Amino acid sequence: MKTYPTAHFENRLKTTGTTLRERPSIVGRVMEEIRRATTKSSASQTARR
Amino acid sequence: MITDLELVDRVRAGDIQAYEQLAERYERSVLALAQAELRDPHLAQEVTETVLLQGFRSLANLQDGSRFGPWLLKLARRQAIEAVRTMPIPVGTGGSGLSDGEIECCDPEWIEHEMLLGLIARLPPDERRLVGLRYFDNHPLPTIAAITGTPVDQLEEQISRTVSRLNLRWQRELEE
Repeated sequence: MKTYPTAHFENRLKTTGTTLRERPSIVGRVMEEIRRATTKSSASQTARR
Repeated sequence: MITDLELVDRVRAGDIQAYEQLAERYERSVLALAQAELRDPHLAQEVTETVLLQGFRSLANLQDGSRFGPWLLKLARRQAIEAVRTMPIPVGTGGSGLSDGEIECCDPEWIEHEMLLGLIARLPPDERRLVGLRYFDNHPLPTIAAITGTPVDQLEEQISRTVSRLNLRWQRELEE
């Protein structure tokens, strides 16, 4: 079986990586949700005291 | 560059901001895994969001903070498989009603990306993490060494071994 050089294959991996990096990040949304949940949880703890 | 272990410790001490760095570090690797399982960019994005939230909420279950990456990728795989299981089956669409993401499936270049992501998804979590950090996030080796706490030469060897194995599987897949 003919095996393509690793460098050629690495370029393919890098191209796939570039495609993924073009997607919009969702971390901002995730952090917003975490902050909201954390604030809510500490507010209810304070109310219980 | 701060290690995963340090970031996990900071989150556990109440520094939520530290989780943002962890989420940014693994977002693309989780997305790649979800994309490989679901083959739908919108659903993959939703699963990624769920996994990153779940990672924060379940952090208490992680015993060794330095294993955050592989642990999160395990959660991601489980979540993606669950999403596939509960995915609605399209009835009588007859090729119509495709979402934006499904249009991408007809692009030969996109099919190649998905094939590759599928192979990467079948790697053990540790190797998946290295491929993600190196090729999806484009980090240089010294940065990955700092993140994972692994010496550069050892890392270089691990990545090279993984890439050679993937390359071989990729060739097999193309020949089938």
